[in-house]
Amino acid sequence: MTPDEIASHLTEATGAIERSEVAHGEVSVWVPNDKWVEVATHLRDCGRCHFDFPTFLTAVDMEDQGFEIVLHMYSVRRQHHVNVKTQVARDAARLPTLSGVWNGMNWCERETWELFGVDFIGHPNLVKLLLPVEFEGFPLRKDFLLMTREAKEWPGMKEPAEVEH
Amino acid sequence: MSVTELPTAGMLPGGPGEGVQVVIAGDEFPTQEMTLSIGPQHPSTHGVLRVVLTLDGERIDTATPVIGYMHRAFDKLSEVRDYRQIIALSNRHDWLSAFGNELGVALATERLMGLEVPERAQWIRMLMAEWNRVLNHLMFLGSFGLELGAMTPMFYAFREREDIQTLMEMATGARMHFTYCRVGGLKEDLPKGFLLYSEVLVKRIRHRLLDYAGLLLGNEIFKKRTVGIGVLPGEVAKSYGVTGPILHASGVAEDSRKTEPYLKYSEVEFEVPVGEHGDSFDRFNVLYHRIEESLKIIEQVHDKLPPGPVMPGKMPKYLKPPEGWTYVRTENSLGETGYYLVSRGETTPWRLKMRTPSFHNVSMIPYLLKGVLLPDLIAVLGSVFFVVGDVDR
Amino acid sequence: MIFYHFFSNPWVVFALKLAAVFIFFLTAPLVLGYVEHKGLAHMQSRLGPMEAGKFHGWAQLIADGVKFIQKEDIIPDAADRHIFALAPMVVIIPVSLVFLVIPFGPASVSCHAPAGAGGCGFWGENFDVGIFFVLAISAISVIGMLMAGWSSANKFSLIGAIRGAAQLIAYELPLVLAASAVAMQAGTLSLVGIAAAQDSYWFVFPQIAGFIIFVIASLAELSRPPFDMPIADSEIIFGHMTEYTGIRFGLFLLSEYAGIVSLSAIAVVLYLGGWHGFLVPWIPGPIWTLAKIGALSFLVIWLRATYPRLREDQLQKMAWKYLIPIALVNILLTMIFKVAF
Repeated sequence: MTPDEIASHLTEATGAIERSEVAHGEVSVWVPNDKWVEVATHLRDCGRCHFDFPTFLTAVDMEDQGFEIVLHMYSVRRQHHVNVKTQVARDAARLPTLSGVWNGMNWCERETWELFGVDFIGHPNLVKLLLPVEFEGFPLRKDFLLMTREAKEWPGMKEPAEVEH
Repeated sequence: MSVTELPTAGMLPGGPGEGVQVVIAGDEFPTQEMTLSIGPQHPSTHGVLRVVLTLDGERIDTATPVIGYMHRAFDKLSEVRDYRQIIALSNRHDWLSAFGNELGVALATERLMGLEVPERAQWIRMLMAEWNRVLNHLMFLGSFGLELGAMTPMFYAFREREDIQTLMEMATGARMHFTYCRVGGLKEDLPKGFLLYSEVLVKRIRHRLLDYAGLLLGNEIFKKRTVGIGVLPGEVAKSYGVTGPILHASGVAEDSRKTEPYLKYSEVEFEVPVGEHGDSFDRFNVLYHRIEESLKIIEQVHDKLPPGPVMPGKMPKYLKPPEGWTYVRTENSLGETGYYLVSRGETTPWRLKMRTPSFHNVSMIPYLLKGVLLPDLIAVLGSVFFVVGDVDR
Repeated sequence: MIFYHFFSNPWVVFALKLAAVFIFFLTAPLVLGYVEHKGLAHMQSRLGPMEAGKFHGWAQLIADGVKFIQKEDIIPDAADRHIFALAPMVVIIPVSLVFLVIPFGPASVSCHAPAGAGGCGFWGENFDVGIFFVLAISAISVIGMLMAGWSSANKFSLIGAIRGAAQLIAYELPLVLAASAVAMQAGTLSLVGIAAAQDSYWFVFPQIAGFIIFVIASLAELSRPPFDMPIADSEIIFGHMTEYTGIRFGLFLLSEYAGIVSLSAIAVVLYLGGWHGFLVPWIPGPIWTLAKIGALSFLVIWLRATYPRLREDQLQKMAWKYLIPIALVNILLTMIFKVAF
């Protein structure tokens, strides 16, 4: 299925797609928070789009708009991709878990929780995965500065982000 | 503790044995569960992976991998580094086949920017990627044998790897972290003598692969230790997100070189070896045949390599991909390595998520290890191909 | 005349034999260890020791010995001190005692020493129950392994020791059964007698099954690959020897190599004709024995380079379901042929 077909099929089948976008040959669909598990289950069980392979789940910090949770799915049988995205608010960052839908989501959600602070409701084991247990804070948030820059003034070349061009 | 009655068959009623109750503790002796932590320093865990086991005698009840000992914050760092610096950072993940990681970053950036990569650069990238695949798989062939007690294939594998690393050093100047790929092409063209040595090596390694087949694949004891151990069904593998040789050994022939050919994979002929049972022996077998296939691809690249430049003529001074997002995946040696790149038009990415195959391979370990004996743990762990830098990023 | 009196004095002969056995016990493992280093290395496409002693590292093991002696004596805090210290002794002393009874050469006709000095010939002592003595003594090392594993207060050591105990006990039986078939064939339990009885043909020919069983069982007794589960250095670090350092560790390693030499020697005496040669009759008996021991030990090293290790339940299955029945059948056949012919 082409990206547009995937978008239209999902809009019809689930009725939960807010909007969709196709860029660089890939399709993204945006889903409201409460329909997250429903859409995911449809993706897994649908015989037509047949998304059986979870590629990854992560979050992108959109600053004022909160976090955008991205779930990338792939279908081994049909060989097509989809990005399923949803928006969560910054101060109320929670989402139902997908670890019951695909096993691979278990660790992905743990990682997203510890790096961004997005709570996954119903996750069986939401403990730190990559970071040490004593670590405080959510490092991948934009307001969490890279520690080396915090601890000591960098005497060398300016960061690429700081150079004007 | 279980309570049994002595059988009364054959005993006279009212005789000495009738109706006596015997209390037997457990089935044999009362045993205690032992918690054993394999790693983080252990000869067999390929780096700093820790697996916490609860053992009942020598049988594993539960296994929990504990990762994060090598977390180096690649995602966070890549938000403050520009694209050239990110390439140097990325090849520290799957360090056994470093070029594959760099390739993904370059491909993702090129896709967002709409850059055309010159033909020669694409062919050479493919050559490097396949040599890296051979490097990676040789390492696992050797180390798997070592963990089972066969010391010799390890040394042979490293002898081959030394030769290939010398080859890599000729082109890139480094033996492990190449930093050869650039956005748009390559750092520089291949040096004189590279292709000749590459051809010599293909023949040499192909000849020496037969040794591995004899020492390991055909070995009775090796087969006894690996056949039927650590069976991973294809559906379970897919639901965990497992890719690469492990997925192929479980019977699912998903290879992005075939399904979504990038670089010039659509113009070379090769097979994707697929296993049947998904046990450790199949994983190993798949690995062995993948080396042969990679050597085939390398030979075809030798024949078809066109002349030309390796960087496009006009490159912008600062790489600023336009605003947008993309996900690019490559079939790296361990599985599918993908980069989800979100750009806001600056010289540094807004978010670069690296999807690594080892992360998902390791997440599947608790499933594989349930009810397995302790020495089989080693056979299973050795057959789950992962590199710790890839797991933790 | 004085010479004659000197060497027929039983105490002198006794002292000389003791010294010879002791020297052999110390040097043969060193030579074997060096051959292992170099042999394994060349089989694995590398060089092996090259530095110690200038010429191809011949002094490597001597250097290792010196290194072990000068190391700090570390006993883990939670370990049982006395048993921890005693375990290497329990492992090495039985192995050294085996060398006393191995006959290296035939009875020498020009020797006139009385029987009190152990008899004439290239051996330490000629027991009437030689083979029985050897098998009984070499079984004591199992206790040492268990002592080491338990007292180390380390889970890996414990696992290694339990595996080792199970393995060594299981493989005692095929060893004993194979040896007793030979004893039956020779008609005597004395090692000298068994070696002497092989003047017309070596016992390996009628007892080929027994020979193979003996070699496999002795590999398992020594915890050598492919039966090195108790040590299994990629899983349980080094089994019962994990916590040992310095000279204690050196003694464990010495016992391993001395064990290889001793069990090879026993196999040579039992099956490979002892001191009897072939083709070239003017080479003296002891040289033949040493050459055969060397060849068998090299086989042991070769097996290490080639095979991965068997899991212990596969190992136990091999012992109980295959080796022991075959050994029993072997005894039966030997019995039948002995009576019939």
